[in-house]
Amino acid sequence: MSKRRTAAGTALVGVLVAGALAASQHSALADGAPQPKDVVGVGSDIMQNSVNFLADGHGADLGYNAAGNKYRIFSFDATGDANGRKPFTDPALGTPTQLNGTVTLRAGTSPVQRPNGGSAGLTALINDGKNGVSANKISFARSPNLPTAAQQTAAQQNLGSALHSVQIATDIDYIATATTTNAPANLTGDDLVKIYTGQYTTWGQIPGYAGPAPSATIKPLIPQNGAGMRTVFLNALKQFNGGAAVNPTAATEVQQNDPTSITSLPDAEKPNAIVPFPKGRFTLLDGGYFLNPNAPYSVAAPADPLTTTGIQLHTGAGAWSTTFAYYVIFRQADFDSNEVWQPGGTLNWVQTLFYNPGATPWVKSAPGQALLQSAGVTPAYVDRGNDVQ
Amino acid sequence: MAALATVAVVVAAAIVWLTTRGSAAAAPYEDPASIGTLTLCDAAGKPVISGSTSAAPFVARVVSSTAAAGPYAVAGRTATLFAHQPREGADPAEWSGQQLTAAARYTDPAHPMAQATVKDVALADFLAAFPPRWHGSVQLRLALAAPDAPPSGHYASLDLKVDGRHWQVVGTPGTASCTTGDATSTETLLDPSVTSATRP
Repeated sequence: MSKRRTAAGTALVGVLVAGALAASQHSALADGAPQPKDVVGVGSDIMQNSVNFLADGHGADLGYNAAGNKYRIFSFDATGDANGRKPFTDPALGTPTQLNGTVTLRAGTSPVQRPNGGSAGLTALINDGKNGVSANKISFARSPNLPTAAQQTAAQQNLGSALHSVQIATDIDYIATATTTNAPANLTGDDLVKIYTGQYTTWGQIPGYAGPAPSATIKPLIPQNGAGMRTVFLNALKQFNGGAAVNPTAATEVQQNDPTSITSLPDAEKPNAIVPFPKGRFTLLDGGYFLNPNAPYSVAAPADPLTTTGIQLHTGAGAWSTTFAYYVIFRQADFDSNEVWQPGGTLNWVQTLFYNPGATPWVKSAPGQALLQSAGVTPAYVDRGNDVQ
Repeated sequence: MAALATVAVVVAAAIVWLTTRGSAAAAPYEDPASIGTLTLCDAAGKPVISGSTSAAPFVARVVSSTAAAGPYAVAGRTATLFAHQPREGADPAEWSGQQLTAAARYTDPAHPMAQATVKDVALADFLAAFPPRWHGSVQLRLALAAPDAPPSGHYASLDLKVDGRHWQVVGTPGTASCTTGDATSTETLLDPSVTSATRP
């Protein structure tokens, strides 16, 4: 075979291989999973809409990904349901039971358990590596709580890096009840400690109760295990319990930040239910962002928006509330990295999106902060470094 | 004397041409997704074709020469200003970019308009993240969007050349009036204390 024919044959093989690679890349893209340099976030339910807005915008207000840059933000919802509901088994198969949702963190990898909540997201980030070597399938966690000292230690061991936190917004947690409720309007932190630990089981046990149902049984609801909002709530109650942890033995677990945790209760229980509920989600619900998931998609007959009808927040004077932070938590090593994120750029992905002293990362920019406001929260930009709870 | 007058006329004509037509040099690329051009406006509502990269916001207002059409001409429509970094050898669709303003609701669909506020950034902010890689070029794009419609794949655009701390329009700037309608940034709609960069 002549050199020319050899070269031509080599070129042909090259073209075929390139074509096959191109085809495989298209296949990998078909499922919409992140590519290696995309930025992947997991964790908190309450933060998911805010970070989704930052990534993809809200209505005609454009997010970071609208720039059409090569690498994008993928912020995976907590439950796999964009309305924040938990998946259940098919009722046709018997009594429905809760499912662990799954998520494909990177294109071509197997689906893994989807971190449902801020604590679960932080744990997943810390477990995204072993023996000091990161797998880098998860770039950041959304969490309303800073890492604990033990989590910082575990991160160093597993990832070879400390965790770095930046507060991007502030929200407020209130007590929600049914619109028609037997609960007093100004439940205090002390009342809540006694209700959630089972010391108060009926409304009449609350000092000064003047409502219509003193003998009715209180139904305290609490976000599920793994929910950062559960941690926010219980941590906020410590000060009313002599600084000791509150064990909510009287509470029933529900999917966090979901009005149906109250509105789907039997009529007898509805007026006696209480649940911590964040203002941000309440505002977003009232703004018509979420649509009725029971209506099939149709441009001609769009679904009605969900509302907060049926529940109310107790925001009056004397009523318990607590402000809490929205944290984005990432590897310190990613902030320190010299690896430029977007082609032609100068910044790594942390500097571009979340933290860049002396410059304007996306979350600090006026358009980014407007998106956070439209999610019903108060924008912030506070570096917490390697702080712990 | 006649020669002096001729020189004066030529110089005056050149000044007029430069302030209304931008630089004679064209950008070293073509972008098939571009469907029109842009007018840049200062805080007084006057067209500008050059300025300082450190001025914040970059400009007060940007107006498109091309009308919004179809799903982008409906109520709730928005226009958002982006800066992109031309890279030789890369398709314009792959050029990295960054928002310079939030989305703005505008009144005249014949001339989509982005409105900066006092909180929006200078061009220098973009340049720090994406320094010019091709003869000092920066491309501005006006992205159109509307509720329940994905961002349009086409946009009016304008090419700049950056030299040190100075930017200059290259090619032909837009001819749309800076006062053809009005626009309000989402930043202002959500927080009225965030004032428009255009003086009333």
